[in-house]
Amino acid sequence: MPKILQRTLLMSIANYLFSISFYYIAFIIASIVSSNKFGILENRYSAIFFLIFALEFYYTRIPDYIFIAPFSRNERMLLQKKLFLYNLFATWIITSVIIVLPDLITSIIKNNIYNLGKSVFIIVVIYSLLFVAGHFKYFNLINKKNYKLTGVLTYTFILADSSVIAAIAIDADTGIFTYIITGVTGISAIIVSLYYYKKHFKNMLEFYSDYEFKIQYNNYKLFERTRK
Amino acid sequence: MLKVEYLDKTLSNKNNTFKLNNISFTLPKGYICGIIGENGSGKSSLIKCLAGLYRPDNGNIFIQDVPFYENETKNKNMLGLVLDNSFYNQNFTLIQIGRFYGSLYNEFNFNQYLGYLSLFNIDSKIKFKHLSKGMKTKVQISFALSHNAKLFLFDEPADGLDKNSREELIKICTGLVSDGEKSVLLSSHITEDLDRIADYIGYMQNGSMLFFLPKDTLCDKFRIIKGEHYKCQNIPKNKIVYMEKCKYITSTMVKGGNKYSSDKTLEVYKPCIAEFMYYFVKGGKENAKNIAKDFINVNS
Repeated sequence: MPKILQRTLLMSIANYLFSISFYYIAFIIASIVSSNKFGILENRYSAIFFLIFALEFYYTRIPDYIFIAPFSRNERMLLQKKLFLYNLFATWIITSVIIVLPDLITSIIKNNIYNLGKSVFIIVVIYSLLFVAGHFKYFNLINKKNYKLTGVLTYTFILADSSVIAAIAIDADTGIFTYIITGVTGISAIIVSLYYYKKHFKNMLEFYSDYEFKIQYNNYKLFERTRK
Repeated sequence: MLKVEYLDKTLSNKNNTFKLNNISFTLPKGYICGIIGENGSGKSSLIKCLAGLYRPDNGNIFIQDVPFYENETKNKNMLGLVLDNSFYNQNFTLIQIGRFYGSLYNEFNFNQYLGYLSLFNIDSKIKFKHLSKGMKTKVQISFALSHNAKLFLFDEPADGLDKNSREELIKICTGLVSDGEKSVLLSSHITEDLDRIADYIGYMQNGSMLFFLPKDTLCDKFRIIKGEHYKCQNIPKNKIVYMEKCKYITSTMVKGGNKYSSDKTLEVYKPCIAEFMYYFVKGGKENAKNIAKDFINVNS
């Protein structure tokens, strides 16, 4: 890993861990406030909600100094790509270890296959959300540059919604409906992510490795690009 | 050293649009150039374009005859930058800044960096975020001077510096170009400093560079005439850049040499950059544009 990215990645992970701590706060509150099914649903919903917040760190930008340091645009794009990948990897590892693994271990210890199945579905839903919400955040940003992505955004939004429904369905324990909606959500998320990756990832890297975009991102000002 | 050809750049936000328009100039090796102009005239945007932060819409930038974006890495290695906002991690100590960011440059000299910090009386163990604005500028200057840059782009380097530090900066700038291999381009509102060190002056207005000339050539083109008002009124109107009437004395900046002041009682002298800037700005933007187009650039 390039040295200049290490600190940024560590900061990103620390922030992510901080955000994820909300998951446990939500869990504790839900346990204290209510012991019925509604409480459990609320717990899951809060968890997903806070995960979306944590996505702020999913697309971490390269450190500021890289913009003036001796790097060409292609080198900056490469660094940005590496940072995305490292960050994605770190986010997934942390999510697995902190959120999903306890569920899995409990299911295995109790030898409860049904719970194990539930945990797997939760993994699908959470990871789908990570994917979808991350893309949603990015496309929402570049849409301010008058990109015609309305259809894609709408589909992403529907997918995010269906992920939440799937999460609720898992906790509500509604049988076959749970399996169907979770499966559809998971597969759709993968398809959409692959589509985005193929069609827009390079474009996204270009924006992220561009100082003008950074200014726009920070100030919420719209810089018109008249690049050929 | 630095050649800019027909540079255009449009920057716009929700409320307004700003455009750097058709900027061309050449700064030879071994010279210092001062970019002057009012606030919002485009000095910082121009420097950001030259530093590769803003990519021009049209036009070319050459550093040592190499197009900037053809070999961005090499060209950025040759740039020593002091910008309005520092790009360093605020939580780094100055030693960490030297070690960490210095490693990105081919020829960074850490001891030289520490030497400049001690010249400016800055404790290298302090965190960057705890420094004042002037001290942050000094750190940027120290860093820029320590990686064997060939072209120095300083955006308001004297902003926030005390008198002694400004003197140090002037000494450093003159020292830098003394070997004839390095050049300095700096924007500044402190025109007195430019008077002492600048070889070339570029004047920015509304995103356009009205002129780019050797300082002496520029000042030679104008005269300031001071005296009683009724005597100054004899000066032809089309030669006046700006006339300022005070209670006892009227001062006027005119185009050309001594020829408009036949009256020996009038005081006539060559303006310094600070005076030139004052009268030129006071004369109004349209007037400045016309003078630059019809007089300064024609006769240079």
